[in-house]
Amino acid sequence: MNNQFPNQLKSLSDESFIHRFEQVSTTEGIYYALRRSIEVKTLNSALREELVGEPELDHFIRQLLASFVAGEQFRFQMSLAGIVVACETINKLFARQFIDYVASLQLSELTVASMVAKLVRRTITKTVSKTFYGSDYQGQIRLVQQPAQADVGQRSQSFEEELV
Amino acid sequence: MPKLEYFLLCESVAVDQDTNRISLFNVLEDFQVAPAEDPTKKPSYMLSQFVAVALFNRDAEDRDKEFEASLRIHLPGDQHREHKMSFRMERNRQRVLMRFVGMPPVGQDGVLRFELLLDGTECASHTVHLNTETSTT
Repeated sequence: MNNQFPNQLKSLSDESFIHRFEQVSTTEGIYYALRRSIEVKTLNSALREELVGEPELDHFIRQLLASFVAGEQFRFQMSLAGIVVACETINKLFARQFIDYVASLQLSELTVASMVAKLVRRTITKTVSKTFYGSDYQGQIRLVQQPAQADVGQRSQSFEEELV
Repeated sequence: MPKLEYFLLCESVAVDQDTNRISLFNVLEDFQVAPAEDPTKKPSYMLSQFVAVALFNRDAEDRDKEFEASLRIHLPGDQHREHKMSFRMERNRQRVLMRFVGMPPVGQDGVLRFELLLDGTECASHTVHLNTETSTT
């Protein structure tokens, strides 16, 4: 990769970065390893502080994809995956579009990057949930306390009796 | 403090496993119920399950802080119930789902108001009207 790109991007195309995660076998493992890597953290900070913007990123990705050969594993898959992970916490349209784009790719040459992007897309918005049961209302609702014995009709009946 | 993007009450939700997109089903608006056959009995309403859905956007200073979301259910007749859950702002956007199986029985017409509070401060509310159908003929 030539010198026209900022170091924060160039480091993701280094041989050491490309081969560092080869032993990791699961998508989750790659994702967490990328998140912990200094290169991805540095790029994330650069994107956040706008030291690297959309034009540089776009140009860099085009440069990477120039070496794409159909039917061969894409050499810079991990670089793409690293950019995806770096974009995860960036609240910019181009970052979301890039993640969505890589996630939507159905190319066997880019499976890993695509799987990581899908995982990132799932985790951008975190969902937390808690279930509250009617039994909190202590005897006011029989449905939750005795769900197995009655069919729906009988449950309605028991509500009627309970609520009136 | 996280900023609320939306808050709604609906009967159920589904989160797409691949895309993490959420779909809300049967947003609660009004309850219309047939009057009891015995006119001396009060109408009664019951919803077997519902979900309160809220989406919060993280501010820079909220990173990894813990917050408490509360859903206060105001029943017709000045009664209210409160349900709380804690969550940590780990991501830029945090969905908070409070699922309810069963709810307090309501024995009169009126307004059912669901109030969302974040760390004790009201963020939003959702109102459902309870009406007994009356014959127009």
